[in-house]
Amino acid sequence: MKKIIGLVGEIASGKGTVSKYLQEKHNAKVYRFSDVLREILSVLYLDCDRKNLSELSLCLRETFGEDILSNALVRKVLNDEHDLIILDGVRRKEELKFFDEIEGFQLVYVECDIKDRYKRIIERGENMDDKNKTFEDFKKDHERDAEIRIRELKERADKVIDNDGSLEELYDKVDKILTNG
Amino acid sequence: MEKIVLGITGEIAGGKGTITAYLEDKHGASSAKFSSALRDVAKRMHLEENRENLQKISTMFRENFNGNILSEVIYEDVKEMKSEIIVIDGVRRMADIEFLKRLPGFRLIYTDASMENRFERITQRGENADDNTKTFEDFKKDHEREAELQIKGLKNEADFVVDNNGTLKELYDQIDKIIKGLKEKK
Repeated sequence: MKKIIGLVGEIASGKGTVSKYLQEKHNAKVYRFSDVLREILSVLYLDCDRKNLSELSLCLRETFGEDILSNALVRKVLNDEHDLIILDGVRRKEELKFFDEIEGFQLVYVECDIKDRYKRIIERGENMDDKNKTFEDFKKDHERDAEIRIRELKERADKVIDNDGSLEELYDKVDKILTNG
Repeated sequence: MEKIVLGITGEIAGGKGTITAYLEDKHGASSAKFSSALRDVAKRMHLEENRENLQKISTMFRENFNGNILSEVIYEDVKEMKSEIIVIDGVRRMADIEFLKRLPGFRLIYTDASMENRFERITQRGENADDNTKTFEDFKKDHEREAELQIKGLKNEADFVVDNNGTLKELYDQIDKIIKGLKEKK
């Protein structure tokens, strides 16, 4: 049976690392809710920073309904032939609406201490505005509605992975989730 | 060499697409459409590409990012194009024109046709999912939308007005004349 794993966790908690590992070691196909947002921003010649991403996500949902991103993604996923599919970066329970109904779907919450996460976000600079962030700025980011909603998803998760240890420990935990279903 | 950049405007089914296709086929023009970014977004979001959704997307971008965003997209697209003639199909607002005038070599063409002729054409082509089932009354109502009201006013801004109540050949002749004139001027 096809397995679909939704990854959720706060900024820089290790979702990307987990999904990369699943991609490389377990031949998973990775989808991100933000992929389509990034594609749209680039069509519009707008910067792919966190502000534009969340602005776009918000106005799409306001205009076309809360399910719009979930609907767009679920269609892609259902047409995909891979045995293992990862949804990287689940952010809101509405995004799970259609996935919850699919047999073989699991929500996995990745958890990690805020100081470690701050270190990572500065190092990777994935979004244009990340590099100059202070620890105070970073803490403030966590008060945003979007971040609060992410933490709320922990309760709904089928599994919680603690990412305060080494990479190897993280990978072991991921492997266990795959073998134990 | 300076490019010839032609903005095409006119009411729904006034012949904008026909003119654009002719310029592409006969004059080797490249085209940039206001609606192509909108259709692109609709496709990616799995939304039906009907007039209502495309307008919602357009309004959403203008209100949340910037009022001229679609003109800016076209502006950047056109700058990257290499052809001698570039057609911009679907110029709809005064503000778009103000923006596009900054493109060197920009000219606006307005295509004019009667409501009856345009209705006949729109029901035949079915470009948008909701066009085929439209009644003449629905069609007249579409013209009361703000977007359509603005288009009429663009006639005064146009460098050229073509009359598209006649045959295709008559339309093409008017376009050929415009292109010839612009090339001679260069």
